[in-house]
Amino acid sequence: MDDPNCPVLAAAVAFRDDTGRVVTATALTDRLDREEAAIADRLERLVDCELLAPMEGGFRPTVTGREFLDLDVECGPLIVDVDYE
Amino acid sequence: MSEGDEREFRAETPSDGDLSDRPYAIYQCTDCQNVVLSMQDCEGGMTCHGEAMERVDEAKMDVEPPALREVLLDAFGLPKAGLDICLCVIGEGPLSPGEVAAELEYDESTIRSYLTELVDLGLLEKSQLNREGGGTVSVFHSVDLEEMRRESLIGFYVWAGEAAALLEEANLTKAEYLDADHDERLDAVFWEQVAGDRTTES
Repeated sequence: MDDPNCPVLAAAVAFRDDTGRVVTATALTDRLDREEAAIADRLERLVDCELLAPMEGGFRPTVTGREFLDLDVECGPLIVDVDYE
Repeated sequence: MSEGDEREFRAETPSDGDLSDRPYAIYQCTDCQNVVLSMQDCEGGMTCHGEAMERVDEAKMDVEPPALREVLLDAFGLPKAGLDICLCVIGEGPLSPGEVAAELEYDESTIRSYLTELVDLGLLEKSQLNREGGGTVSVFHSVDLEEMRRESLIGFYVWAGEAAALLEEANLTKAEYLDADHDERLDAVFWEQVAGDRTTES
């Protein structure tokens, strides 16, 4: 995807699909030009939005996360509300 | 940003009523009462009855230019918080309502309330994604910028048209009053008529 809605999530999905391994901040540093701590912070936020799910030693993309990347969104804001009724 | 720090985005006052350098153009028909507002001064201007309309270069009435906050509230019923949410692009990727609330210093309930309103207004779009384990997750995102620009301008023109219709009604009521033989004063007749019209509409 050329212009993903969330590069960290896109990298997490690509990593998971390419390797089948658990996603970690360390594992994504090779794919993203940014600090590991910043990636770790973003991963936690993506869990709050249910776009990633925690699993032993890291994370995995959820169905919601994969659908999120397919949204055709030109620019922000992007607000994910898991409790909206 | 505290209340005192907020800049007031207010349109400029046309100096001495001079409209020639404003980002809009007003045209009037030289034959009928038609007056047109245009945000895009196309070559050749506007026409009425197939004839070129005359551009109005000067306003005789003093106009108090509106502030952006007043326009949003009056035309769309949208308080500043609503616009703040539309403009809330913090870093990259998605935010939860709680993060938006913390960033903008509003209650989370306020954010949720305006998200619904912004979708109703057409300024945000809501998508529903499948949730693992059943149900859905709501994602609020911007509509296409060109679409937002067009729809907000049309929405505002609707509001401006309604406002113009009210002014026309006031002027026509005065004309009718002068032609008729009323015992009551004009202001009483006018407000009675407006109240009657509003009751009929609702």
